[in-house]
Amino acid sequence: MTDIINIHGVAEIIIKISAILISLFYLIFAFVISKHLKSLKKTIDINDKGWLYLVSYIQLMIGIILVTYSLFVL
Amino acid sequence: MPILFDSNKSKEEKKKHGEDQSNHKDNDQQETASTDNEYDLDTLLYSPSKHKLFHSFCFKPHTKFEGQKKDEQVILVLRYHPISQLPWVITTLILAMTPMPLVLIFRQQLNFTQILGIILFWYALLFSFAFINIINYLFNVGIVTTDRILDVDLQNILYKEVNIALLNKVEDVTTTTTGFIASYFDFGYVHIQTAGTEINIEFTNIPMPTEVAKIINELSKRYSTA
Repeated sequence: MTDIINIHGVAEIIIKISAILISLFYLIFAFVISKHLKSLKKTIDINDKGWLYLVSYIQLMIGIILVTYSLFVL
Repeated sequence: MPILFDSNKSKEEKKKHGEDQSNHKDNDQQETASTDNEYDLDTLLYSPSKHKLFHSFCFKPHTKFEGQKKDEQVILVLRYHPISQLPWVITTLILAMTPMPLVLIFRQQLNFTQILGIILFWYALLFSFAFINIINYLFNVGIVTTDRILDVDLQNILYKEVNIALLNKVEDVTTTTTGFIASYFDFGYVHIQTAGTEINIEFTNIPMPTEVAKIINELSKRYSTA
């Protein structure tokens, strides 16, 4: 039975699928946050010298890296 | 509205006892006169801007907000006291150190790419957790202007609630400081009760609540006497 179903292979597939799903959710979340930040900055304009936008774009970059990693490396 | 407690008066009294009265008599009299008027409306409107405690207490900041009138001046921008943010900061630091033992435990079962993936995901999620908390800290504000009081609440990152009360509708301002830490670091609640069906406003865990109450009292006085 163990010869037919490779347990190690199944575990790898589960890890890969869950990684893809989590990274996609992360990317969507990062995108929503970067858009939502603009509306928040309209509500109250704080003098952060663009740091918040920078951090939100870094988060977006991290999301892209995660999706790429889980699709092509894992 | 009466000012129940003036911390600056007690400071002045301590100063008077501690210092040499003969040398500094004139200076003390000038200081007493200036601090007595510190929360007078005229003094408030012409005093310079101050930022204290990681921008949690901003006096006359160069901040603008949605729906601000042309002649409306922002007097106070209030955020949570930095001490009240310690739980998430400590949580972030602890979580930042967590993957190392996990990697050591599971290094036999997982290959290098999987371990690297887990570490990447862990720190990415931790980065987002810290960023959300920073946004919560920065945009959860209480604003006191020359016309009204605004309370901007972010319940979670995507839910925003803005409560507005006009200064001429303010009936009572109550401050509450509970616990040893809040008393030591001087932060607490300011509850602003308004007349009629207007919504009551509460600023939670803000620094220097008595000073905030005094400023709101002074500003609302102008409307009650006018």
